[in-house]
Amino acid sequence: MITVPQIWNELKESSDFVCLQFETQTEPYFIGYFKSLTDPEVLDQRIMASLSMEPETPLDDLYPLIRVADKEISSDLSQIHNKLLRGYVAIQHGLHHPKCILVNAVLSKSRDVTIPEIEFNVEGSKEAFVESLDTNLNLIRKRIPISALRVKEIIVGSVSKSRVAICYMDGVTNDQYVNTCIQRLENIQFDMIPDITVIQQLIEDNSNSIFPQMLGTERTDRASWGLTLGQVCIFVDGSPTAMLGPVSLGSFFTSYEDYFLPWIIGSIMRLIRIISVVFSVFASAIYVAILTYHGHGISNIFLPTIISSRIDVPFSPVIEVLIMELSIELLREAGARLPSKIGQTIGIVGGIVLGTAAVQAALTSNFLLIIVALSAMASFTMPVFQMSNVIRIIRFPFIIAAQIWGLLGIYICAIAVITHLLRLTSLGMPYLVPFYPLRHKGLFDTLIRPPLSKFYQRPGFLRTKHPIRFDKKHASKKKDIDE
Amino acid sequence: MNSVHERYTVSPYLIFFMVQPMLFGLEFLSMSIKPIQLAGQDAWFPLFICAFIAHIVMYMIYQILNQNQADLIQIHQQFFGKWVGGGLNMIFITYFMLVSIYQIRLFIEIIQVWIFPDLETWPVALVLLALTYYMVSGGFRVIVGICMLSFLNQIFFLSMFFTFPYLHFNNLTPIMDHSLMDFIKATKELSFSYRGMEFLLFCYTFIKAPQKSQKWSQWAIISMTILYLVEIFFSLLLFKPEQLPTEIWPALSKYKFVQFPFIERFEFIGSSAMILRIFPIVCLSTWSSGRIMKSMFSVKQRTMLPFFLVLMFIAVCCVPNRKSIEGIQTWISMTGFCILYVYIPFLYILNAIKMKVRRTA
Repeated sequence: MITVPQIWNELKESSDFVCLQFETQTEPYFIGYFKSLTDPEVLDQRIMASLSMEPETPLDDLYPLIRVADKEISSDLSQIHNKLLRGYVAIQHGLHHPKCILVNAVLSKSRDVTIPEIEFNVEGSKEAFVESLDTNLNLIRKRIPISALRVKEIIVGSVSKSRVAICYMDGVTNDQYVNTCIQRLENIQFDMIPDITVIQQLIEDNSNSIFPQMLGTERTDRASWGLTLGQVCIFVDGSPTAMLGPVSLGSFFTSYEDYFLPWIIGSIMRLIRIISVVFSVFASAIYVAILTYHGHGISNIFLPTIISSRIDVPFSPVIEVLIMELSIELLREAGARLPSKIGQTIGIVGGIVLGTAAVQAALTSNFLLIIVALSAMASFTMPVFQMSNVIRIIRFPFIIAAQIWGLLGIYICAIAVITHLLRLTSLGMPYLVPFYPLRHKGLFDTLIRPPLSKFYQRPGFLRTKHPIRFDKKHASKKKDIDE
Repeated sequence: MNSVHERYTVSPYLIFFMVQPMLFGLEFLSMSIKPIQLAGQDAWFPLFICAFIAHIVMYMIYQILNQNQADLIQIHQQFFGKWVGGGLNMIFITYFMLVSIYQIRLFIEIIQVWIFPDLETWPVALVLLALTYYMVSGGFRVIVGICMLSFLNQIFFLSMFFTFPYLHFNNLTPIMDHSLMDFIKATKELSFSYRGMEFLLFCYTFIKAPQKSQKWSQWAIISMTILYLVEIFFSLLLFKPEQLPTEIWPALSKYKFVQFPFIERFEFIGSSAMILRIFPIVCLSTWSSGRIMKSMFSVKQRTMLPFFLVLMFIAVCCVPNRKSIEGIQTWISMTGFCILYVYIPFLYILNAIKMKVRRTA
């Protein structure tokens, strides 16, 4: 059985813990806090000031005098211990008294809300999440000021004791998803949670998949949109990313900006993105397949162009492609690790100088250079960064399969990927929904971006409790001619 | 009776996507040769007879299953007892294994003839069976997903329209120029193309509201009849009757007519795409065999799966040439005919008697 003095003694081992003794005529007051965690202003002006004005009051009478909203009297020792470590100030009257006043004097230092760096949009708000959980919840609450938005908080991580918040819309979000989330978060056995991506890997349905099964976003508008549709949103203190789930593959192809543009333009943008991903995955592999095995498969008009461009190249097509793909990956990796100004230089030196030199030295063909550069660019069109990494990596198995069995290899590889996607689930929801299982109502917001007035239903595959977003009849009433 | 958890069941409409690829195996590629040899320009008539019979058989299958609310494994054991019923189940396993071996070997042969003449059989078989393992271990829903994916293959039917300038419409006349015997023989040949409905007997309990799915199964047969009709007509119009027997896969030869600005030989794309057709059948066969073993000997499907696949791998490697593939085909065709057109009507009558007895008693 530990007592309050034992807590003082244990915490005094750290040099930043302070235990003040405030002498009075009866018993002394003990005030314990971490000076690295507490705000000196609160400590001086609120706590010490009230204590020195009325030094002789007992603990219960002192409590209303402290002009801080977040305070409580507690005799729960583990709570006192934990709260001290979070930046609370504990006040004890007499060394053997079991009760303490806990006053919130947390010094929270976080950066200001800034513009999104990863998911940059031309239109729309320029507000991104930050590392502080309370700021993030504030940003969400400001966008959804209704009581149905519920926040559940749990502590995860045996060392980091990270605060994890699960947000959902009561009466909309399916309870099954919320419960799955909470249960998986509670089951996490891990010590340090530095970022939400760690949580993502720990609670995903299949952690051996390269496909992300939760959607990370730093945009406040995307997170609040997802919540409105019936998704669950998870925040972790210390991570500037919110995580939405359950998600389907289609969600990774939608940029939030689609909703800000006129629906026809938005739909075309979405279509371009899908085509570019298909191109990015298959282009280099098809190049290898054609040049290695199916040379007579392409038309006579097209053949001379390819032959004349790679007549001096000494490598076999697959080596040529792998060298080019790897050097693009290298450029991208180098650019990402350097400060942005040097990164630009790397881009110019690597992209333009090396590219031209490689063609002139006959190490690669112009034709391939175009394909590789285009497919690299196409993979950047993915609006979600996690997915653009997947597109980057998934190309290599296709190239190798194309080298082994040509077109047949590409087919086999594609079927393997699709089987993998069919097997994947996100919080128990099939990953390929609404294509499989086919939900024709859900197809509405995947390949095209519907007009907002027609978007009166929540996606059916989210199995929301309240599938209607707004009354359709009022929204789209068609007038007769000249009426 | 229905002990399958709802999470593992599929919606009734998906049965359309499941029945269609089951009927639509690789034998489709050569389906038009023999009926046209036998019934000539009237080959469409036996096709209609065959489709009609197929609809009736499908109706019988649903009657049997609906009245018992169980799959064929349990029905066998209820009707014939443990030993005879078990024996019948084993016959089905053998039949399913043979069907998958036939499909895989036929696909590898197509690849060997059209794309890679020097390709060995075993590496392709190994990769295909490994993929099958991955699919089947994902469960019934994943298999139905693969069936739905294989539906995309119907796009290749559009390639037929590239042959329009070369069609000879005179080949279609005179109408009704053949004897009744020819029609009957042609009907029997065509019945091979409607083989595949028997899978339904084993996945019945995995359908959500299974009674509603009959509509979709019948639609699948109708859609297949239309596709077969198109195939037979194009074969008639495109090839001379004497030329047709020299073709092994007339459906693939049609890809030679396809021309795009930058693709010269479309048959590379078309023939490799046949891979989509084999997976539904192979997956469902192994899955159904696993189910049978599970309910008979209560072994896990996951432990039986590698066993079946290794068996199939060895068997596929042991089939050396065209002649032995045709041998398997004859065997499957005979067994399939017996199962669909003899055994199922028999079971239907038996079931009807049993129901009547139960009602009067």
